[in-house]
Amino acid sequence: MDKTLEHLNDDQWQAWLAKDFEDATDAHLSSCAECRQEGVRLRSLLAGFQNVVQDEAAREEAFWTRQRASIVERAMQKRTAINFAKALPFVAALALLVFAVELPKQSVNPPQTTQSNDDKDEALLRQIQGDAYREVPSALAPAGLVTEERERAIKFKKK
Amino acid sequence: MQLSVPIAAGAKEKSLETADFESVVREHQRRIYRFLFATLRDSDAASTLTQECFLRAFKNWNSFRGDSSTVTWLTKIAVNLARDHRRDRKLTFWRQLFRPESEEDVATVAEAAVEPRANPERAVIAKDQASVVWDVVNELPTQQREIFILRFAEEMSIAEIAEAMSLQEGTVKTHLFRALASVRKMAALESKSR
Ligand SMILES: [Zn+2]
Repeated sequence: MDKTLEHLNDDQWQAWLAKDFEDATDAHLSSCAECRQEGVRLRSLLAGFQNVVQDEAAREEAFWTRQRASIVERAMQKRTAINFAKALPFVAALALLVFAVELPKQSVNPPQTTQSNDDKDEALLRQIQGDAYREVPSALAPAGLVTEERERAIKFKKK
Repeated sequence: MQLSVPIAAGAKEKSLETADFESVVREHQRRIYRFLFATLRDSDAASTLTQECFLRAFKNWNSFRGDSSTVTWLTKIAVNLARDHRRDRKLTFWRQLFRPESEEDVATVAEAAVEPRANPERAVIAKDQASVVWDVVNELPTQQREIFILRFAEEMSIAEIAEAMSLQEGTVKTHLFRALASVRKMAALESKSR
């Protein structure tokens, strides 16, 4: 059947409007004034729709500039936040490492810094204690002499 | 128009410089905003979601491999944002409806229920046939509406729409033909009534 003899059916119209049509549709439109007129009407309706949308969505240049600035600013804030979040574990690990290395050093070699009054008092106390211990052997010295004398007397008797 | 910045397929992570990103926004912001405005018919929401669209693109820039054009990729993000927005709007509406605590709340619910197209002033203004097409489009199911707008307001090809909406080309055509059938039906009624 020659498709050019019949008017376009719904499917053909939809396909033609979607610009996804067959040659037969084109052939019919070029030979049928009635369909051609309907085609022009429908196409202009769709073009009108596009214009309406474009007109209603049109904004002043300041609107776009403001919107762009806001988007870029927020994006950069986001990037900073992301970079910080990424860097955080490394910073934490580094801090932990420094702490782990420095802590043993400090316990082996106490810092020789300026002593506070408390420290001075403690040093004095230690010195006194030390002196007291050193006093004990000298106090016991006479007993040692007695022992020595006794051992010498025994040796003399045996001779 | 394609963008020169996207990472070519296979290229490893490339950081997006501020100037590059700004030029991406400059090139596509009007188009993305227009699509969101056309589909939501809400200027504030379109503006907010346009910003969100570019921020998501920025965040996921390294995962964009340049398989599709930048505009198709951005449209894909915008389509998802618009759907999330509609869903949230409906959820808010129903939540408020079942939990109105005061007269003020009831008034808010009533306001939320009024779609922009139902605005009587707007209905009066929209006498022009092309505006009526938009009204008809607004009544279409979500996918039909989005596809119709992308095809006839944004002049995207069937293949690009399929890519942006993660659909088969045949499915896009089916939705588009249905949408066109509704518009033609309206156009026929309009022409009879004149
Ligand atoms: Zn005909």
